[in-house]
Parts: sequence; C-alpha cells; structure tokens
Amino acid sequence: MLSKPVSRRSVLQGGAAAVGATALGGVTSVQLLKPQGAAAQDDERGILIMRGGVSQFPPTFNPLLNDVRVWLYDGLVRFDTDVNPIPDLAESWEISEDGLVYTFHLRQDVVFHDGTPMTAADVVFTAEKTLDEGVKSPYRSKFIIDGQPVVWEQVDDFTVTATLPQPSGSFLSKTSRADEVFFCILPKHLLEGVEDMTQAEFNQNPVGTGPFKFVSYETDQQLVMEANDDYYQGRPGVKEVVRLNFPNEQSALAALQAGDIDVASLREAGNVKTAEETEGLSVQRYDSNWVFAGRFKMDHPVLSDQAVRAAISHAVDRENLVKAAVSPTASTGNSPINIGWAASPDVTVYEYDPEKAKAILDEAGWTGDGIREKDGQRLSFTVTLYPDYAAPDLAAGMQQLLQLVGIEMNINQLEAASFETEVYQNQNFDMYLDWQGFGVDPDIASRWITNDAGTGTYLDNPSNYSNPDVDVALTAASTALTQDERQQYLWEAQNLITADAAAIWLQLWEAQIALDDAIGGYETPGTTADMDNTGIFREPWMITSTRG
Amino acid sequence: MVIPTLFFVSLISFAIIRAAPGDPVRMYTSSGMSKADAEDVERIRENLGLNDPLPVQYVRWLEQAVQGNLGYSIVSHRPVTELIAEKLPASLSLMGISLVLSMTLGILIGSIAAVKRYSLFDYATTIFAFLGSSLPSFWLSMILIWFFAVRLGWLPTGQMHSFRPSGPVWLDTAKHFVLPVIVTSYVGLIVWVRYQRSSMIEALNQDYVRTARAKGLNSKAVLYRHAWRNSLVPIVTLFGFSIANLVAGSYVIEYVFSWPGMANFGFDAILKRDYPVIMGVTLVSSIFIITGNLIADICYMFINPQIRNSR
Amino acid sequence: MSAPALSQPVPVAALRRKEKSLWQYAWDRFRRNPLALIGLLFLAVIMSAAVFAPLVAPYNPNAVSLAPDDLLQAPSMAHLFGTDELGRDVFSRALFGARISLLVGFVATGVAIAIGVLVGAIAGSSSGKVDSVLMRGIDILMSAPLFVLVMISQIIIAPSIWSLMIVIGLISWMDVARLCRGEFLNLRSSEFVAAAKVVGNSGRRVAWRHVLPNASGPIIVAATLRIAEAIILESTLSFLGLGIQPPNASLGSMLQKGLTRLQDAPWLVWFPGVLIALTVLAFNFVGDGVRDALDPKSIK
Repeated sequence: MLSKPVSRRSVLQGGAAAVGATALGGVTSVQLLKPQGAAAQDDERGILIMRGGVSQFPPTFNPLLNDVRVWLYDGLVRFDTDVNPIPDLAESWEISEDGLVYTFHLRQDVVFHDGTPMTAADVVFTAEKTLDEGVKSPYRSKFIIDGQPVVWEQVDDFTVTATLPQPSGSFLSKTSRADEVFFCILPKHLLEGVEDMTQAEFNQNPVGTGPFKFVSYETDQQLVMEANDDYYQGRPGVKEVVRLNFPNEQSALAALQAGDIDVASLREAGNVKTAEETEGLSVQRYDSNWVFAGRFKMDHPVLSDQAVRAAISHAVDRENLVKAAVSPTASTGNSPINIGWAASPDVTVYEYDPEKAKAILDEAGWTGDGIREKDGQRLSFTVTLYPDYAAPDLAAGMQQLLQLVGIEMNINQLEAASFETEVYQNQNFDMYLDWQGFGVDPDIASRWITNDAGTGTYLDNPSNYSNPDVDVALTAASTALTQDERQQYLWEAQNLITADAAAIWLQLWEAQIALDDAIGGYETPGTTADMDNTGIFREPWMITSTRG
Repeated sequence: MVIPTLFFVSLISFAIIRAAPGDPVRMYTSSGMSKADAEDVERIRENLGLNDPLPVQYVRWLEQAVQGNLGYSIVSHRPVTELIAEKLPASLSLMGISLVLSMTLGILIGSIAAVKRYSLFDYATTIFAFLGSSLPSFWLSMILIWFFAVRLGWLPTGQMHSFRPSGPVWLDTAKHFVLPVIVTSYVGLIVWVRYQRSSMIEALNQDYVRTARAKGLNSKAVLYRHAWRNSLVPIVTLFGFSIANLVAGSYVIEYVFSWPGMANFGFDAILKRDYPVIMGVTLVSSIFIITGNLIADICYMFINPQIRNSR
Repeated sequence: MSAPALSQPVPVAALRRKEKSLWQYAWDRFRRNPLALIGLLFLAVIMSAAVFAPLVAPYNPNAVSLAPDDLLQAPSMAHLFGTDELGRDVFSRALFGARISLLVGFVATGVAIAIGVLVGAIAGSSSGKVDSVLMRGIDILMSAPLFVLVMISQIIIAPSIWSLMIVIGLISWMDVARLCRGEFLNLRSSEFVAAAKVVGNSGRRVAWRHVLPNASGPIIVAATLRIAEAIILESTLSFLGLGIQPPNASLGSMLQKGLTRLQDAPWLVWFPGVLIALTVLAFNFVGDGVRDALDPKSIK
C-alpha cells in the first residue's frame, strides 16, 4: 500500500472559459506562449498513476487504426480553450482566398521519440496512409470531401500543402489530434513499406512526437510511459505516467481514496460526491457540446405530430430530472449546439410546464382520460435507450412525468452494440436516447440533413428528420469560408430544428475529474472541445506530482 | 469423445455469437460518443471478411483452429492464442488458490460438523457456509473493498500487482490476492462442507466403524483411520468437477477486482463483439471443463471398483 | 458453481412400500430441522409480501419526486428504507423488486424443471439410441462455458424479465434431466413398474402415472436449490447490465444502481442486499431440509 504523499494543494484553474469568435479564413499565424515545465530538477519529478478517460487502453497504439488518446502523438494544429485553432506541429498556416489550399509551415525543432527529426515527409506520409484504402483506417472519410480526397503535397522539408476539392469550414480541425479526428503525425521511416498495417510491429511499440514515450503495456491492464525530455514545448513535469485498468467506476474511486491512483475521470454522481468529500481529493469540472438527447422517428404515427413532440418537452422537468439522475451540477441542453460561437441564442426553449403540455395536446386533438387518443390512435410509444449510466433514470423519470399529462412511454434499454445496430442500422425504434454532439468542430450536418436514399450501412440521422430549409442552411454552413458566415447558417439551422421540436435535449456531458492533491500544475480544458487525446488534461506535459 | 464435443461447442458458440446484433468494427472504430463513418466501417468489414456468408466464415475459423491458430482479434489485430496465453495465468492462479482454500476449509468444517452433528458448531458453520453461496458475489466484493481497502487501507482495491510496490514483490502480489480469493473461496465453500458432511456421516454409519468403536478402539484413531479417510473418497470426484470451473467460474469477481484474467477479457470481447476472441475464450474454457470432467470420471472409476469392473 | 447433485437417489423400496407415510415421515423430519423451518417461515413472509406488494407497498414504486429535498433521503418513518436518486421509495421498490426476483426464480426454475423432466423422462424410458443421443447432447452443453452463453443469449433476446426467465431456465435443465433419467432407470427395473406393465398399462402411461410421482422427491430438492441459484444469477446479470428494463427493478438491479452510491447513500445497498441474501439463504435451507427429510439414510 502506497502511503499518501504530503498534501500540497495546488492553485486550480476552474470553470469553463467563455468562448469567443475569431476569423477562420485569411492568413493566420499565432505565436505559442507557454510557461516552462513546472519542475526543472529531475529528482523533483514524481510519477502519475491514473485511470484515463475514453479509450485509455487503445486496441493498438497505431492512430491510423483506432482512437489513441494517450500522450504519445501530436497533430498539426490544436485548439485553445475558446476553441480557436493554435499551432501544434505546424507553427503557422495560410489558407488561400478561395478556401481550397492550406499551406502548413512545420516547426523545425521536433524530433520523434527515437531521435529522428519530424519533417514534411512524415506529414504527407501520415495523410496518404489515412487515405490508403488498403489500410484499415476508420478515419479515411475525414479527408474525403464531396466524394473527392484531399490532396497532400510536400513543398519543402518543412512545408506541406493540402488541396481541397471544395471549401470546408471544418477542415482545419481535421488536421488536429482532437476528438473525433485523431490526426497524429507518424514516423515515415518506421512505417514505410509495412504491408499489413494491422500487423505492424509499430502497433505495439509506438513512436510519436508527444510529451511522453511508450515504455510498456500489459494488455488492458497497465500502460507505462516515461517523460519525453525532448518534447518541443518543454520537459514534462512528471517523469513517468502509469495508466491502470478499472472496469467499473466504484473500484476506481476506491483506488483514489486508498491513494493507489492520483487521477480518475468519474461520471456517477454518488462517486463524484464521495470524491469531493474525501480529504486530499478535489474534483474539476467542465462542460461539453455532447448532449444526451431523445430523437423522434419522424414518420412515426404519433411522434410525427409536432404538437406531441412539443408537449413531451414541456411535460418533462428536464432541469430537475437531469440534476437528479445525472449530477447536481449537470447542465441541460436546449439545442444540437449548446456552447460556443456556434450555439444560437434564439432557439425555441421548451420550459417545464405540464399545463401547457396538456393544452397543446388538447388543441391538437389528443384527448381522453388516462392515456390520450386521437382518431383511435393511442398516445403511446417506446423509447430505445443507449446504456449510458444515467439513461435508465432519465427514462424512468420521463416516463412518470409523461404519464401525468396522458402520454404513455415504454422503455427498451439495449446493450451498446445491439443499440448501434437496432437504431443506426435497422432504424427499429420510435424514439431513441443517445449522445449527440461533436468534439471540436460544430459540424452537425450529417445528423440533421435529409437522408439520401440508400447511403451506407449506418445512418447518422436514423430518425429521418427532414426539413428542406435546414438542408439549405447546413449545406451552406459546411462550405462557408468565414466563421461569421458559418455562424449565421448554423444559427438558422438550430432555430428551425428547435422550432420543429425535433428532439428532446437532456444532459450536457460534463467531465468530472477527481484529482489527488499530490497532482498540480495542470490546466483543465475549459470545455471538452480540446480534450485532445487525453480526455482529462489540456497540457499533460505541465502536470506535476509529488508521488515518489 | 473430446474432439467432437469441442466441435459442437464451437459450432454452438459461433451460431450464438453471430446471432447477436452488433458489429465489432462499428464498436471499436466509434470512440467514446462519436460514431464512425458508415463507409469506413463497411470498407473495414469487407477487408476483414466479415461480409462473407457465415458458413464460409465458420469453416475458415475451423480450418485455422485445427492447426492451432485461433485467428486475430478484430479489435487489437493480435493473435488470439497470444492474448489468451497472457490472460490465462491470472485466472488459473486466482481460481486455483481459491479452490484449494475452499476445499481444505470445507473438508475440515464438514468433517467436524459430521462428528458433532446437530451441535452449535454444526449449525453455525452450516449457516456461515450457506451464506457464502447466498450473497451476490459482486455485492460482497464491493463491501469488502470498501471496508478493507478504503476504510482501513489494509489491502489494495484491485488489480494483481502494484506499479512499483513499496515492499517485496511477493508480499505485494499476495496482498492483491487476499480479497478476490476470500470471495471466490467463500462462494464455493458450501459445496465442500455439505458434501464432506454427508460423506462423513455415511462413513460413520458404516458397520465396521461402528464395530470398531464398539470394540472400544480409541475413538480418535477410528475417526481418522477409518471414517475420515473413507469419507474423502467421494470428495475426489468433486475436485475433478471443480477443475472444470477454474476458467469459467469467476466473471463477476474478475470484473469487480479489475483482475487481469480470462473472464474479464472474455466479457469485454462479448461487449465489443470481438468474434475470434469470444470463440477462443469459449474453446479454452471448454477444454478445461472437459478435462475436469474427465478427471472426475477417472477418479470415480478408480475409487469405485464396481464401475471399473463393469466397464 | 455447477456441482454434482448432492442428493442421493432415494431407494425404490422405501418409496414403494409406504408412499404416503413417507411424505408424512419426511414432514416430521423436516419440522425438526430448525434452519429449514426458519427458512420456510421467512419464505412465507417474503413471498406473501411480494405477492401482495401492491397492497403492502406504501408508495407507487416507480413514482418519482424530483424536488431536491426528496432525493436520497435516509431511512425514516415516512420512508422505511429511504429514497433513491429519483426520490422513489426504496421500501416499495424493494417489495416489488422481491416480487420480480422471486418471479424470475420460480419461472426460470419451472422452465428448467419442465425441460429437464421431459428430456430425462424420454431418455430414461426409451431405447438405448435415443437415450445416448440425448445424453451426449447434454454432455456437450455442459462442456460449454454456460455463463458466456447466458450473457450472449441475454443480448440476443434483448434484456427483459421474460428473457431472464427463459435464458436462466434454458441453461439449468441439464442437471434435472440427468437426475430424472437416473430415477427412471432405477424405477424402470423395479418390480413395481414391471407389475404395472403386467396389469396392462402402456410404457408411457407407466412413466407418467407411476414413475414420475415417485421421482418427485429429488426433483423438488433440485428445484428449491435452483430457485436460489436463479435469483443469484439474475442479480449477477443485472449487475453486468444485462438485467431487467427500467423503471422496474429486481433486488439485483437495485443493487447495481445502489453500489454507485455505496458511500453516500448506503441504504440503497444494504436493504436490497440483505433481502436478497436472506431470501436465497432461506431457499437453500429449505432445499437442504427437504433433502435431509427425504433421505432415508439419514434416519437414525
């Protein structure tokens, strides 16, 4: 049993930062200003033992094959806490007037963990491998715009260009390693000539440019990384990072309380509360643009009626339900986009008002004692649940509140993989509850644009929502050249979608990170928009630890 | 005997797994809350041969399995045999130690309870042992973790070893075994206690034991030399059956204690629909079950001459 | 744990000679077993509470009360077992939860016994070929890791109270079938059945009319213990997220949710946990008591 290190309360930076707007097009060059790593002396550097966030044990360490959110890699750009792009491996970039050609100027002082310098050839190699159909990369379509691939070219040793088939407001975010994108620059010299990427020796011995180097991995149990003292932003503040496996959150909390680990991202309200009340632990929070929302099947005999959908939103005390079922600090969403420059201030908000819900239903012809009816059709449907931890309580609460206004809602909770197939492939549901949102870029088009007939196996918009005005607005938003223009179209789309009451928006995903007081020097992301590949910290290299 | 059984088990497992809705590629390419693009999923499925007709996929698996190749994990792309070899020792050691412990304790308690039938000891131990099989093991585990690891800080909360233990490595590992072993062996205790108790009672009722005691032979010697030793004979069979449970028996306990074993690994594979891994785990578990049953049969034949002669 | 059936076959002679008095005799023996008697008493209480839950429960078990003060109240006179995170009355939920747990236990066991007796009877009363095919089938099924199959089956059928009953029933009939077949083989060779055949009864008629009632003792024992196992299995599946659908709860699924609150609302874990333990314990005691009572060898 490790004894708890001497408590050293660090200065915490909390709260979500306000999100401002900056121009996206034109010439941008931002200078990176960062303090040096907190601990300079080697004997002062401690180790960090943690339960990481999402995919802390990736299936392979090759970011071409899956999400690798460990601190091994960097992308070309990153995002600040206001979700503005800032330099990562590219120290500056230009975008041509027509929005088609992006020119990235790379830093010249970056080396891979094996000591080889990182150059333009590595960037082009990474992009080409992502696009290579033979490589089983799930990220290929990120670089396919309007059916055409983005063309990457090396200009000189430290300059690359990317030429787009048509303008795309979200392209820059796709050159970052952020959520949903994972563009991590790989060493060409180690992966060149690999026939089958899935069997590359690299996958078990990864080499990147990030703040920590790979040391060892015990499958699904323990990942050890050591400080990359040549990291381009400075020497990391801890000499070693260990990630441990906890299949359930209670065990992780127990380990935190016992001093076995220093950091864990927690979600379950009881565990968060206990962590807050434990001496020597503190909890950091930040919101995100992921919202747990109920989407209605738009061609359902009952739910196709806008009055019914509006009444559902009015009948549910969303705020108190979310606070009870999720956590007392959880926020409630009102729109597909809830935070940042892209969130519209003019959306229709459906406040809790059961009397209004009844009036709307009466007026629309849904009448009767008990469960309402209209033309012999009962006001009844089934909600299909994604097995998120709060989902059963959210649904149970909704069910009771809806019953009070004469709506019957049955509950069908599925296990995750079955849910994916039933909802997104078979479209076998009346209404479903699942996470909707985005990491960095407010690209909501695929979830709200009218489905093309017969596209793909899975649908992003399985509810068959279709509003021609929304289609126009979202299409214009995705090709807009400036952020102002994008904002205008995105706001319009949200206003239309909320007026349709096309969904019921419940909790916003709130990151809750429990930290031991032995940990300091970190910066929380403010919003999850820049979860980077950590899920927890914004600048993992700045963390310090007093654990020996 | 063994080979056809394994064949049918693999066929049943394959049929059941593939009847379950879900898509391994969609599961592992979608990270966290974001969903992978449908086109990417489709392309990777095609590449992995998951779109071929099911019989074709089964025969392909079988052909490889016969050569000792259980295929590659869809998720991590690593050989299934290698992954299982990594996970097997943790499960075997946890279950093995627990088996020995519950057997020893069970025989001890069962024998004394038989000798002192209807005594306070008999009732107390019966209740105690029955309670073990009546508590949901996850509930018991969580409460023990909370008490011994969180409140008292005596024992670790999970895993099989610490990162850089402060004391000797063996001590650290031993500490990690304590709670999961207690729960596993407590859950299994009742079977041994009851079996040994009734077997001992039967032995005590044998004519020659009664005669020996009537003749005035030292009571302890009789108990040990005649009754106790004979009562152990049927227990040997139970041991064989218990081996069958070595791999398959501890899903919940491994899950709660973050144990790096087969069961945890198999459960994860089920949720991710990692078909080759599920097939591998099922097959290896079956081999253990069949072996255990065979050992039980052989023991039974060995100790029971009637059966031996009749075969 | 799947262990070999602990019960020893009841010798035919004992059953045949004095069938009625045997049951009376067994009851006399059962009555003298304090653990079994306490178990039976407890089961009577919990089962009537579960059956009459709608009358006994002070609140609607699913009614939520979202005002912040109503959430997670500690036990009090108004809420004997406290309230949960949605302000629901835990006592009422536990009553209805016990109802569901018991229902799953009984129906799953019923399914297992029905299949087991049917297969066992067919195997035990038919020719060598049918018998050996059936027994080989059972061997194969028992060589598969059943818990894995249970989990996947739950996923296929989509978790619900019905799927739990069916799936748990479907994996626990094999022991019963073996037991039943053994009884049939024993009884078939007895004079008693031979006599019945001589009088002119058909084989099938003999099987159902005469053999089955005589085999019922060990089957009752197996069934009682199986109910206990089924309740535990249900709670385990609930813990792994493969249990019944919200808003309903079984005792097991109440535990699953409650364990996330072990430290700040321990009443969510203690009450359903103790209730499940006592119920299962009672079934075990009763099953054990019945076995001892029916076992002539333990007659002094």
